[in-house]
Amino acid sequence: MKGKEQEFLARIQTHKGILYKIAKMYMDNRDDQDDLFQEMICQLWKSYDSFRGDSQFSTWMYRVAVNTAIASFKKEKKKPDKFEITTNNIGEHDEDSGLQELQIDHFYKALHKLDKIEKALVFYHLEGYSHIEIGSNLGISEGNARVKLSRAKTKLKEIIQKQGYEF
Amino acid sequence: MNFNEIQSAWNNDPENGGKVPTTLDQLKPAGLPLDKIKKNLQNEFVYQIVSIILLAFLPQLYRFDPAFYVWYYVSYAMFVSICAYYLIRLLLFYNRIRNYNANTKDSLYETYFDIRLNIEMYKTFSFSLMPFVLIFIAMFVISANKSAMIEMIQTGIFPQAVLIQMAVGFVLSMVIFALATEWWTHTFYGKYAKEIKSLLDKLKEA
Repeated sequence: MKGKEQEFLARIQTHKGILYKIAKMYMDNRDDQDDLFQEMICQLWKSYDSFRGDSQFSTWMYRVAVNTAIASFKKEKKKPDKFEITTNNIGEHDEDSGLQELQIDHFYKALHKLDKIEKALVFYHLEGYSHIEIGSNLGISEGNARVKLSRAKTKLKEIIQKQGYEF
Repeated sequence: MNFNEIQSAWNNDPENGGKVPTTLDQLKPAGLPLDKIKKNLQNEFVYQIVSIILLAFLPQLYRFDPAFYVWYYVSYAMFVSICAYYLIRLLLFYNRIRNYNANTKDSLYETYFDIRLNIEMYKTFSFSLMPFVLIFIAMFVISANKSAMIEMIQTGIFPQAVLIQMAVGFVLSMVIFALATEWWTHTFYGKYAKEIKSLLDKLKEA
């Protein structure tokens, strides 16, 4: 059991970056992100016996992690003030990495205004999934996945523009 | 900014957050709706046990007529059996391992129907207790007005006002009990079902 647990945790360690990206997509403050991160690891462990190795570990992990994030609700507690992205923050970043960092900050901020299903669509899209793969993971048809992804992207674009960023 | 830039920023995002524990015992998960329902049920289990223990002393605490003792404890035994049956069923139900391997739609449907089933089971549980609550109240009322009640039973004359009071009391108790059950299930369980149903609606064909 301990060996299996260590093997599992080693795999999670390898993929923890993507798990945290999912947590950041679904939760807008650090405490909730950490809670969801732990929740995903817990659900992955509970489901680990069902991982047969037919697919890559990461493929299986994405599905369980996204399903967990979609089924999770925020804790009912007072939220601390969120970090607001303003033009004043731009100077805090270096030219190249700073620009990408700012873009990703704006992107996450816009993502938080999408619903849970739209977030999943955008996540799979960014991870390079085809429409048919996205549909398969969400349990919807390829056409439905295509239409919903397109709408989610349009919505995301509008939100980013409303944040005062050119798109 | 455009989607290519977002994709590039996403790929290059050096995400370092998230601390993987060294052992799984250190995990503290509690965010999923079924886990929250399970916690609510566990709390209710404790309250039920306390209530059952307190109800065992009700005849002594409220000085019921000793003639009611046998009837009270027969009803009480049935009441305890029903409580035990439903509470064990509800707890076993939520100790099942959830399936998050399936696709999102199937996983959400499974969760949704589990919550709906829990709500219906909970309502059945509550309504099955209603007759016992009425019996206990009736015994309490009769014991509190013993001499007047004996007189009415012996003469066979029940004043109309008393009959109306009993009927109104009976109907009101039923309505309040039913409304309280609806409110309770909606507040503690229904909101989760509603949220998951809205997610399922979003997965419908565009």
